[in-house]
Amino acid sequence: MNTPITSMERQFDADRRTFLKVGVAGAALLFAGRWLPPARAGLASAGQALAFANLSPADAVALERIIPVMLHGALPQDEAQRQAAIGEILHGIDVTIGYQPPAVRREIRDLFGLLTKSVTRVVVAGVWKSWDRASNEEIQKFLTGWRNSRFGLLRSAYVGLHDLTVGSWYANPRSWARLGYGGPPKIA
Amino acid sequence: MTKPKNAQVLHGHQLETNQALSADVVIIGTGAGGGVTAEVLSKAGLKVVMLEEGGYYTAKDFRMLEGESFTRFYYDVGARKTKDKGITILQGRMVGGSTTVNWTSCFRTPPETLAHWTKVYGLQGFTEAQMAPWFDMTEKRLTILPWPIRNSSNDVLYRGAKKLGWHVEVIPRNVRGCRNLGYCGMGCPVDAKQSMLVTTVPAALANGAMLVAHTRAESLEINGDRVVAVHAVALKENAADPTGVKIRVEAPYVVLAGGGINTPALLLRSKAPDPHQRLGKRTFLHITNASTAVMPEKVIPFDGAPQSVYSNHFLYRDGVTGKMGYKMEIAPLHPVSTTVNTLAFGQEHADAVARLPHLSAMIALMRDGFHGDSQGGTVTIADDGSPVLDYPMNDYLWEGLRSGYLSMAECQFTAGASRVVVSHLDAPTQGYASWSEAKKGIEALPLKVLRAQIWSAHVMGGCAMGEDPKMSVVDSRGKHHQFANVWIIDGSTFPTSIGANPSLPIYAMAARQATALAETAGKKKSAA
Repeated sequence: MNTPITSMERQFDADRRTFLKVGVAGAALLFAGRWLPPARAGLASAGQALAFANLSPADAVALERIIPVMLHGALPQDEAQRQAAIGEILHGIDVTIGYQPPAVRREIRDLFGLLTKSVTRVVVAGVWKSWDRASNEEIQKFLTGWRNSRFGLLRSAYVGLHDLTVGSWYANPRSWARLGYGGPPKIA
Repeated sequence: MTKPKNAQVLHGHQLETNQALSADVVIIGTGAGGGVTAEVLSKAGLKVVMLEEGGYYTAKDFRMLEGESFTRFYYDVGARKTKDKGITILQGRMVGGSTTVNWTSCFRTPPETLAHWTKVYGLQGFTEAQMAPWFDMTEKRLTILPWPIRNSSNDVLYRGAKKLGWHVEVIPRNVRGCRNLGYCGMGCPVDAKQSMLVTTVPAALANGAMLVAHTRAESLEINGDRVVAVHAVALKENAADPTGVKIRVEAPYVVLAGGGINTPALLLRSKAPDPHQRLGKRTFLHITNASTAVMPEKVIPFDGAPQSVYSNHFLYRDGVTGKMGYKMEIAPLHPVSTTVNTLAFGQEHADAVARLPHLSAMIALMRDGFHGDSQGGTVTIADDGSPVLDYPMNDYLWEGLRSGYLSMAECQFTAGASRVVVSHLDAPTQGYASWSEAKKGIEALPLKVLRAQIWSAHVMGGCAMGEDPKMSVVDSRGKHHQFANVWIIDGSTFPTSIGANPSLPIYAMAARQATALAETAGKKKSAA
């Protein structure tokens, strides 16, 4: 984190103002994901997402935009390979969620509910356009905002999203060369 | 030793019909406490049934891949969280419990801890001299010996501590024929680690014990002052969701060995008597922070025994009951653990983790539970019956963690680190460039939940031993104060944390408790 403390404090204040707008209804909004209608899903992944056990098509659309920002600089340069990597990351996330206990899966659903319903996406994540139209800058700002949020809940949501995406990519042998990791030793 | 032929093993995810089982003793959990207990009791001729929530995985399943390991071998994919998510807990969930995936460091319970338990909690039979034979026996049984080879990552701690004149010592490990691969945390692929998976559990099976894996004990059936049966549910392959198949085990003796989170949760779900409100209280974690050195040379932190030296220089920096003391050790780094714990994103993250071969991670484990301001956490149950551990932080704990950051950074710069990155959201991802910069930076860090990154790999307490029922859940033998036939033999019975990695303290304590229980239960059996 390069930001000096002072500018981070300003960020906290900005976050607080954003959050206070929803302050009274804040808690309710966090769970709104359970009943609000889903935002318009993008077209790209709808078909692919049908194959997922734990991610909805709308989750997949959001993640398809978040993954390249979260892992900027770590994914393959070649466009076809890059798309394949994103597909594998989505698959890894889906599998990983399936190994979580029901209580954690419910929290992950709440997190994706928050990200994929238009009202909460705008109010809590600060992303105005639907995910498939959101710019990289907008997504960067959203991730930075949650990472530095003065609210533990949003910081823990950032950590959750970070764990899922980063963990899924770096469990994948295709990510290892960049780390100078040659994979597990061969057992004779 | 691997699984003996004709072993009686049931796998919950493969069961199609409900099961009614009976035994002399049912043991819940096959980790450090349950594993040792199962061997001792089965050897004494008692018919044992072991229930295990996780799966029965063996060497052939240990492919040294983090993704597979975290999902199958750990609770919550290696990231069990405290209630406010401020602490990430690494806890094994498989046959052998955490002993199957631990980093093999074995320390005796420090004499300071044993003396504190005797003096403050009135424990009987836990003096250093009284425990020595149990430690001797366990060290022999599990081939616990100092490990003479030090990988480059451990050498950073060794060099730094030596130069600073700090205590530094070689770690004894429970291994036999170890190939020094460095993948202990993903299960030993060559059966060198002398975990419960390859020692006591197969020995118990060879003695006629039955193992029921992929099965979670849901509740105890209580009749008066006795538990008459254990009700369990078979679990799907993910060891999380019930299949619908139920298992009931009847036994005159019940041993709880699920550890500091699961054992109190099972008792709470069962509405066990708790007249003095001690159940699930004072849960300790050895809360741990980390500091990563960027070394000019390659250290290859994924290669070689994960932990081979430690420093106790700050363990008793202000006496046993003074300021928080901490033990310093090294943590192995692999792709997932490194990248997930680097909380930046984008290019900043990509650049930081690309330094992996040059990284050496140090950890400081806080000795919680010895001071009035360190009361640990509290286990309760959620609406669905699952355990929730609330571990509130306070200034006393934060001061220990800040001191830990400082000691680790000082040690790493002294050992020649070019940069040092401490586990905190507000510390620079690329690291501090000098000890003076680090000192200034660390002293200014806001220490708050989910800003400081904190881990635990050691869950202790929650069902404390003690002779006074007002202060404890079980007596010094591990027998439940209110139940006539329930023993708790796991890390949950420790009245404080250990102040060292707790596997050997649990093995030796379990050997002692189980030996006495075998006598009690054996007499009852021959009288019947």
